[in-house]
Amino acid sequence: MQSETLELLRGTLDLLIMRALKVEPTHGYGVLKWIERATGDQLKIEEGSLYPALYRLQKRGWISSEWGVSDNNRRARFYELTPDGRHQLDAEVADFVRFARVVFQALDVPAHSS
Amino acid sequence: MERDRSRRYLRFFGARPESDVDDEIAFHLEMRERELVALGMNPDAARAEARRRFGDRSRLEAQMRQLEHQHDRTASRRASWHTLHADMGYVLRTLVRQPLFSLSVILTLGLSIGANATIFSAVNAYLLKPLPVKNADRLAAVGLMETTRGMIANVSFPMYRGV
Repeated sequence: MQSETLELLRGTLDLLIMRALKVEPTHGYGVLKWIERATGDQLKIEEGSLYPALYRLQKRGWISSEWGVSDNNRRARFYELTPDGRHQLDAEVADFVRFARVVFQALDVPAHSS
Repeated sequence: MERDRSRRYLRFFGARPESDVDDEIAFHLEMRERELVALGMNPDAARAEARRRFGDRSRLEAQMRQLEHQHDRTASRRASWHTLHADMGYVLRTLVRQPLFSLSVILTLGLSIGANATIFSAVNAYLLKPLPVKNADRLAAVGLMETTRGMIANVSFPMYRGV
């Protein structure tokens, strides 16, 4: 039996956050919504891990933040991918793809079954 | 509204992690609430549900504040390095643009530092450092004395022994 939502693999959240911000700068809520949409609501992202992850990425200099005004005219903190973050994202995507291929291969499952 | 405006100016005195974290969470909850209301939930239920989904707010807040605080520190350190770097560049460009002035400054500084170092090393060796012998405080000079004029000539040690 498949459970309703999948637990997030360690490290994947950072990857997804940066990918969301590559599309356009947005606030934490926007990142959450993007990930939910992009994964067809199959991943369970919790606020309790999203925000600390955002802050940590900022501390590493991969994303930056600025207060702005949201679509509905509210003051919100917008996050943006930095040039460093862009490189980091490319590198991490490449690593992840390699990692996934290796695991698929070991499990003897073709990469596009599901 | 009024509160918002005064806050904007307060930011000139440095970031305040506490209210930033507060505002960010409040914004998140509000967005979630709106979404739930748009889905047909009544406002009170939406408010409660948004809070329930958010989880342990105070614990997360504390964690975020701490991370924010650390980030502010590294950011300000990075900013001051950046300023220093820019200043050094400016100085170097100015010096290159006025070579004569630069040369005289460098010569003046070089000569004065050199002279200072020379004099200090002499003073250091003669006056400040103890003599490099055992029981330096018991060292004595031997010489010829005249009762009215005091010591009139130094005498070497072999000569003193011969006397």
